[in-house]
Amino acid sequence: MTDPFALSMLLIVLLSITGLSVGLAMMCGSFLYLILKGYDPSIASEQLLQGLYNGYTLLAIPLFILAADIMNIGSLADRLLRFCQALVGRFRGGLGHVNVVSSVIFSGMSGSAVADAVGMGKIIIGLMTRDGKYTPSYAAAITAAAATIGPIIPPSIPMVLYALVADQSVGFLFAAGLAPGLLMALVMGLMNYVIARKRNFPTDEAVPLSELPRATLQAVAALMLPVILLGGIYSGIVTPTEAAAVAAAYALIISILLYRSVSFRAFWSTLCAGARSAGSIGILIAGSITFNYVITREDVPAKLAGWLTSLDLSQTGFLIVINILILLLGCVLEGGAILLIVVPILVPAVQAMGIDLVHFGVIAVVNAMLGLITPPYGLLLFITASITNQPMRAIVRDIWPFILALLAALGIITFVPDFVLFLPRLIGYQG
Amino acid sequence: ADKVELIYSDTVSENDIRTTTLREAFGACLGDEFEFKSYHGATLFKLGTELTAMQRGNLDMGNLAIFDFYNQVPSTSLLGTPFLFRDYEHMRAVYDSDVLDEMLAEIEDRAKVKILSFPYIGARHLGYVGDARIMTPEDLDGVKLRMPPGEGWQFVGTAMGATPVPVPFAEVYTALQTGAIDGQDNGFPATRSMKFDEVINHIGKTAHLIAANEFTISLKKWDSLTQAQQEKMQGCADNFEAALDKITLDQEAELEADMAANGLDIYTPDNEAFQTHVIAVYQDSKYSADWPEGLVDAILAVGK
Amino acid sequence: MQTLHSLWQWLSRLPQHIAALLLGSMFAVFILQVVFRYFLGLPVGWTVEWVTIAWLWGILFSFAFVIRSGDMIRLDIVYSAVPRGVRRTFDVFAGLTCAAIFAYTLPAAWDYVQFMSIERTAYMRWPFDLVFGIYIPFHVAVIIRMLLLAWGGIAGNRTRDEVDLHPETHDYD
Ligand code: NA
Ligand code: NA
Repeated sequence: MTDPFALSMLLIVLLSITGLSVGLAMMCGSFLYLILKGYDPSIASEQLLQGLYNGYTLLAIPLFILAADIMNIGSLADRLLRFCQALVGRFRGGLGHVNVVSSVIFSGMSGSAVADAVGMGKIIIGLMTRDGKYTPSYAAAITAAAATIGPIIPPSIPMVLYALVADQSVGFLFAAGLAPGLLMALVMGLMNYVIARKRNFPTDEAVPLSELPRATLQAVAALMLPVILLGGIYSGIVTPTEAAAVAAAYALIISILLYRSVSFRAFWSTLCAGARSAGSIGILIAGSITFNYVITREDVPAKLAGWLTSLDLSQTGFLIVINILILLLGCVLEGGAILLIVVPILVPAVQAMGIDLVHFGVIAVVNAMLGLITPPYGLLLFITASITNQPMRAIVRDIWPFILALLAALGIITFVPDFVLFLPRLIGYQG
Repeated sequence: ADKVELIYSDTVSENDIRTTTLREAFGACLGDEFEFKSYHGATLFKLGTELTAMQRGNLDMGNLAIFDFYNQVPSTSLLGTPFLFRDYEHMRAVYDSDVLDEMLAEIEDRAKVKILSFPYIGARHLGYVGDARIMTPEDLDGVKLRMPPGEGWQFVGTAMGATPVPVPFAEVYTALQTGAIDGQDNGFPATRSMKFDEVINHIGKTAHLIAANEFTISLKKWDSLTQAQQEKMQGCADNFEAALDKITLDQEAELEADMAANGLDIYTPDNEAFQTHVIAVYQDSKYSADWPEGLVDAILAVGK
Repeated sequence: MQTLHSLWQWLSRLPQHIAALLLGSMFAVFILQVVFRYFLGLPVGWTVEWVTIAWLWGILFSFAFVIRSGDMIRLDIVYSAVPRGVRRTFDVFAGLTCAAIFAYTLPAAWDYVQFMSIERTAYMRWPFDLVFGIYIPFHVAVIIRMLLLAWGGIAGNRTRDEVDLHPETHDYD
């Protein structure tokens, strides 16, 4: 094999398998391609620097991370749970419903599934497994599954990544995620109800109604954020990137005002952790930016689009193929990696098939989030496994029903475009 | 012999009519001796990074904006001055004349690129809500005119006699509706695509900025061509310029007629009064610090 | 001895504080920008530029000097499944290959960063060789970290903390 492109791909695969940072592996592949082609190797450095410097939308990412982390240290998670318990704790499988509903509310403040699982997850798993009401593996499974809602309901970091690679509006993508996110919550709630009946999970004691007003106030403060974000972005008061800073400020202010629980020390260590996250996702973005030059130079997206259209698939057939492809990749790849590496190559083909790119964005992000709970490689599985100290095997056994439920939701999201697009259209999307 | 490979990058989207025009009027025009590979939508190089990419030998051609040159050849800022050109014909006559030869030589000398042609990309006009027509700079006194954020843009508004208000592009429609601003200064295509024509009632065709791109090739690539190849390429670059001019002019005329038919008052203000006023303001400002001596007068004199 | 020790501790955490400061300044400056524009009616251009530069520096600086190997986004299905001896071979292969490629391309990268002195930023007018300057320490740090990785494979002394995945830092998924 002497083709520079093939060799650089091979190098990336080899380096990734042997455990190198995927971002660095892609940079190595890009450098190798440039060297073998006899081009200036500094093109890779140039692409990295200019790509990060000109990626204004990307700045939302560290700020959304910051917002979620502030919510976590600000004990908002605790208080949200109180509200959800008052709301749905009285039904069969009560804490399971509490888990799902609190994920919905928390996702309005956070752009990431991992932040959801780490923040809310620890507390609710503790509640569920205390007194031996639920098995730890079931608690871990439903927590991991519910956390996937985080980046579907706005704000959402994966949507920002998609907006970058597909050149779509962050505002419209955020709006498009709202209904699908609620649908996912609904199917998981149903599944929890079915399992609770079958496995005879207990009903939890009702929280006294006298606690409801205060709990509601705190939950409303959290629920207001998507409203503020979408309102601010759509009316043009803030750019999506500024909205991320506003989200972080809002999180900080309500944490201080409502809960008085954020110390400067805690805030500072949040910044330190945020900087580490920014470094790790930043290099993955940087790697994909440099490799994107290679992909473009080799006309890969156009060739792939040509090949896919030559297969003469119907739109439905095409969407099924794409869904299966991303789901399979999700078993072994990180969500961010799928959005940054695989999706950009697919976008021209999707466009050629006449599929709406905002609709496809939601499909891709839901798929990528499913990848977080599919074995063998699923970040949310790792996290809940380490919280509960359960073997992965046990959690995987309990998460299958939820994966099936989410696949059903994905089916609706994929084949009923209007379900995804009616909200963006309501605020002016022409698609 | 091997074909001459030309790598081209711009920020216009793949499906835009300007991209098809480039491929036909320039790429196909070049013939079998060349292999013209064009990348669009800023997929190969980011907006504003094409010049340095050409200088480093990583890109052969691009269609640049004049402010891409400001950092390295400050005198080019003159070409971005409002009311420098009276109208499209004047702009075209200036670029066809020899008054800019010295500046072009300076660009070749300092930036190591050669500008082949100057395709027209559109003019900016005054679109506003008001009871009366704005004819002169005096009429703009106290008018809250939205200009793009940025010091240089804001100064364009000041120089024209208005009170400039920086409003992000996406917010202009709402700002016009609520009266936060009285007017904005986009060309016909943006006015239509952002639906500004729904909320304004006048368009004064000031054409205060008549913009052309710089269709550019790296000097290294240019010098590697034979004389026959250079002539061929220059001819095709002129061909592309003419084709893009026509597309832009047709589009502007079509949109103008349509907006007028919808009841908008579209007229031409006293542009000479504007020109005298604005050029004088610029000459007294820091923005003229790098302008070559006498070049403004030479440009204004073209065609008179 | 005690003071020396705490000084060392403080110094070893310095990069982490610098990275936190960069992120904190992005946050503060963004809020400043919104406040200036909407409450004071004063648009400021330098804010966007500062935030962008802080983001670029934050990423490259953090990756070079702050984050642990476990924070990096890696595909460790195969890696964590193979026996220790194979892992060490993996480390040597990945470390040496990556170090070699980065070392080979260092002169070109250096040349590009120097070259960018001919351009300046739009508002603050900072020369771009300065703005992009952080790239060189990053590029060099990658070489050194990768050589250490390879050496760890040869000597067999990598700690669990360096190897294990820390999913909490993958906060963006
Ligand atoms: Na969210
Ligand atoms: Na997975």
